[in-house]
Amino acid sequence: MDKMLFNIIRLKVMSTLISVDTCDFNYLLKVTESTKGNLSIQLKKLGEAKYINVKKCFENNYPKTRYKITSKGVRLFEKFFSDIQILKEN
Amino acid sequence: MESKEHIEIINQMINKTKEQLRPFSLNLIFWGALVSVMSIIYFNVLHLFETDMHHIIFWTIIPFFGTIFMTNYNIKMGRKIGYETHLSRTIKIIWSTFGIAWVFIILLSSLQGFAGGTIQFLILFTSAICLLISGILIKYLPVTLGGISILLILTLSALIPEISYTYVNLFCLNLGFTIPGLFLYFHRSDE
Repeated sequence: MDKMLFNIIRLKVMSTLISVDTCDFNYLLKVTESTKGNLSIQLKKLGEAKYINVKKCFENNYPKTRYKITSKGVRLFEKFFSDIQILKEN
Repeated sequence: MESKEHIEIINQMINKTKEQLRPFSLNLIFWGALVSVMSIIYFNVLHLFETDMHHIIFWTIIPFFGTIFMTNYNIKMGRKIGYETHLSRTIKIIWSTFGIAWVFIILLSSLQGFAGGTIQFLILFTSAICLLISGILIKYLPVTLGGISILLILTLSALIPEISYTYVNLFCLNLGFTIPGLFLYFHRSDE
């Protein structure tokens, strides 16, 4: 089983990113019901493990970060999902 | 945490993401209404247009500002929503392609010296195809029917050549854009 997705915030982030094309930090903050600091740390970990792509840009002179799941992230998320389903059935 | 709880979290997160089709419906209403008004004005001031360039300017300047206005609105809505689904990205690509096709139709028509009716036919035909694809993708029948109705009106206008361009434009734009847009706006407003 993938240890990376055992963390509830990381699992929430990956579940959100699997259902959207891209999203921003504020949306992830809203849906994960986490704190800014904790979410930033978990996003950094996911980014370092290449589960997600992080794109930083400027909108109206304000920094904005957009997140997108990578193909590796999709593959590992699907594997995690099938693993927990097998575990549940057993 | 148990595997059952993991599955529950995944389900909850996926269900939190809703398709946001209100901006798309407002785009349909805006373009339907704008081009309908433009058509009425055009056929009432047609006698003032002396050269082909006047016609081309009329049909490019106003839609150009309309495009700027709606692009700005779409960007603002995208920021406000905070996410973009795969479906809304696909819809965006389809209509951006229509925008490029529209520019090329105008550009090539002015070079080839096509008649107004041909340009109108090409633009409406392309928009009907885009509406059809969009309607099928979002699984919303009024939008699909909007595309079909434009194709039917174009077929009728080819069979009855003496029919006024104004009526063709008004029927196509309202049946294809404004009415399906209003249906979509009120249908999805509760989400």
